[in-house]
Amino acid sequence: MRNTLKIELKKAIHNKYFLITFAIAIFIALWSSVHTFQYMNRIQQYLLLIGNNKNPNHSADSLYNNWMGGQFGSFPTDLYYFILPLIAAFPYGWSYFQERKNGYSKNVICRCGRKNYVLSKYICTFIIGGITVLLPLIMNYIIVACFVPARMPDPCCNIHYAVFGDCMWSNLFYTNPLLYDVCYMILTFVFGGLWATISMMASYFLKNKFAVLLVPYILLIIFHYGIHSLFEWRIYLEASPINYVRGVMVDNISKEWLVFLELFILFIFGFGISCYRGIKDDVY
Amino acid sequence: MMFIKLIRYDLRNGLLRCWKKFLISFCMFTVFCFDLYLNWVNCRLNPADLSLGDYTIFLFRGMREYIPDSSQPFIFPILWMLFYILIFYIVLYYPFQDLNGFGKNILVNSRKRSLWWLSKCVWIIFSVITYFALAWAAAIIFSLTTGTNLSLQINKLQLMMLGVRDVEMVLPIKNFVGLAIILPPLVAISMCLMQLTISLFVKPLYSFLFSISVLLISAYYKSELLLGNYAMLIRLDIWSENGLKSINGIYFSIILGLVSIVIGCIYFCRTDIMNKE
Amino acid sequence: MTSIKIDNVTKTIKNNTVLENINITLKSGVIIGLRGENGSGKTMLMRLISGLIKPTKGKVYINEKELGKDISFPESIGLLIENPAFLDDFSGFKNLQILASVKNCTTNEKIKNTIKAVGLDPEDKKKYKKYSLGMKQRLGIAAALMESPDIILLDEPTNALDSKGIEMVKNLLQKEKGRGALIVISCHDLSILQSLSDEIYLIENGKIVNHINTEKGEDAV
Repeated sequence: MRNTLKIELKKAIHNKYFLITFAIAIFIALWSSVHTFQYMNRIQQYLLLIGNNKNPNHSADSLYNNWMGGQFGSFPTDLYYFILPLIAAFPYGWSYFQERKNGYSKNVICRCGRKNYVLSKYICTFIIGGITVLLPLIMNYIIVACFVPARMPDPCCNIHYAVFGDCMWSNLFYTNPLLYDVCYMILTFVFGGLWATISMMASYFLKNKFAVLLVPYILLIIFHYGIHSLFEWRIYLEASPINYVRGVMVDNISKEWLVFLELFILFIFGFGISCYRGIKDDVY
Repeated sequence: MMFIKLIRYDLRNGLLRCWKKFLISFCMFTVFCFDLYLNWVNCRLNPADLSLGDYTIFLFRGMREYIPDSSQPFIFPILWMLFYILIFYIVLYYPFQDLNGFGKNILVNSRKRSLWWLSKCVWIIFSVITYFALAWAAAIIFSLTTGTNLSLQINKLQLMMLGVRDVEMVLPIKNFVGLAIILPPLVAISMCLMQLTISLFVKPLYSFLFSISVLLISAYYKSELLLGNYAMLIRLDIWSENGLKSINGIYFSIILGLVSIVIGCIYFCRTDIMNKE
Repeated sequence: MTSIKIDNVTKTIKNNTVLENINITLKSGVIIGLRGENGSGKTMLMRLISGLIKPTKGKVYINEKELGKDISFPESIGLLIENPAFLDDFSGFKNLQILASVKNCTTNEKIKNTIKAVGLDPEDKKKYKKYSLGMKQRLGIAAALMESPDIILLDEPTNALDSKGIEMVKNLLQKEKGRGALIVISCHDLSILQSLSDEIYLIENGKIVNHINTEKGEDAV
């Protein structure tokens, strides 16, 4: 299986979808950095204007609320998280569908077996989906850290961070914000990876590549709509991954149990159905 | 004559055969109407006071202008975005499925590439009109089912809930109806044509991504240069003095649509047609 | 010494019986031809032998090991079933290299020789998506032969090939037979089947209706 996994990773990294999608994600992350830089510039100019007589409110601006995962009110950041499921799925989520459809999977399966093929494909899709969404975040973090000081967040200024007392991991944010950001990056990686594998699962039910990549996303948007509009009077927790992978409270409070439950469900669907059908089904 | 045949072929294969997608959209529109109904129930208001105009404005309202603020995150107008994302998805696949499949034979038999292209553009227009007709139908059926009246007068409470500041401004119904019927579909047609043209140059999945990005940026920034703004009724000058001029929206949509058609036609007539996405 | 035994196999897909009561025993060093109309079950039979599909009833034994129970796939098999399928963005040689790296039982030299043997250029950097139909078919045959497998399944290998290509296929298969491989091919052209095959099975509606031993020139059934 190590062989097949190496081959899959090589195929994944050398394909055009990965390169284009990754480039788009990097571009958005860079755009967000520039946006933050311009904002910080304005703040600096303002501080110069007000001189020493007024409270500069330094705590309001820190690395931890100016990188993409901790920011709000920035269009590139909002765009990135809105299309994050697509960024995760586009690079390699289509591959399993395409290989089954054009018959390439036959060539590989008869050489390595169904289980090895499906498992390698699953692991590779997960890894590629995860790193495509993670690396731009890391890049953005490093760039923003170059010009925004990593001031310790002050709980009195929580309105500037949108991390409130009952938010997920909020005590970590005010005690070890770097670890908090790392945790959210890992969460984003895991979600991105699991989401890419949903496309793999969808290939058993849908008939074309566009549907395999886009129908799960549209269903996610419908789910988001359900949580935030249809049932907003009933549900006060953040259940939509589009919001809870961000390290800020956009709308509702996120809770660990709900986040992990949803990730677990994604894993069961993605892994369970892909592997079950991949191993059991006939190969045509 | 050949052009009419092509249009008929596209309407049969791209519209009638895709009835499931339109059915799902119709169900979604019904859910949207139910959303408004539920909002009123939860606010302890009488949903029987709602009218067809209320349901329509709810579907096409969009969101008020967002002013970036360090304490106020951007909450995108999910219903409005979902409404347009669905139509972008519906019209995405068919032209390429056709070109890579049976449509190649049709293209060759038609003897003129421009006819094929124009036929696809007409198909998009019909698809969007059908989509919006279904939205109106869903609103009408829901109104009838829930016993609300079919008038297009908008309830002042509804306007307040939508954040319109000057609710005393009496809106001539004909203005509202005209705009609600014309502008959102026109913007949608224009954006779908733009998506189709862009997908000649980049993969269709990325043109879909671009369309979504345009929607999001239009929601984010209130600007005359961002087409999506004109699809949000709440941002138009019918509600406030600072609103965007509706007539500009009409011109912009028409011009963008025509430019997309022309650029697409020129490129399609010159490009090699190989099996690709 | 390779053997394939198909023991009273029936395959049903969505209430359609595509193969019915198939009983065949095959030994290595022969070329078996499958003949039948479109939709008769030739390709299904090949899929069955390769392990890609499982029988609804009956068993398939490869070297006395039950397929689907003792082994999932024959240990040494090369196949070309239906249309050849490769990765669009890689060259022919690169495609075969990627496939070969799964089992790592062949060398780059051997791959290049096989590509040359099917009439393609191993140094050609052209991507697979630019190949003509005939070139794709040749590459598909090369993929089936490059690892010198014990079992070779070729579904209509002469599709899209010119007369030189057909001669090439014949020569290659004779060589593989000489090596001791068990070869199963299907073809619509009776003359090719008769010139190549040691035995021909005639399939109709999923059943074997006739078995011709071409060496003896007589019907065995």
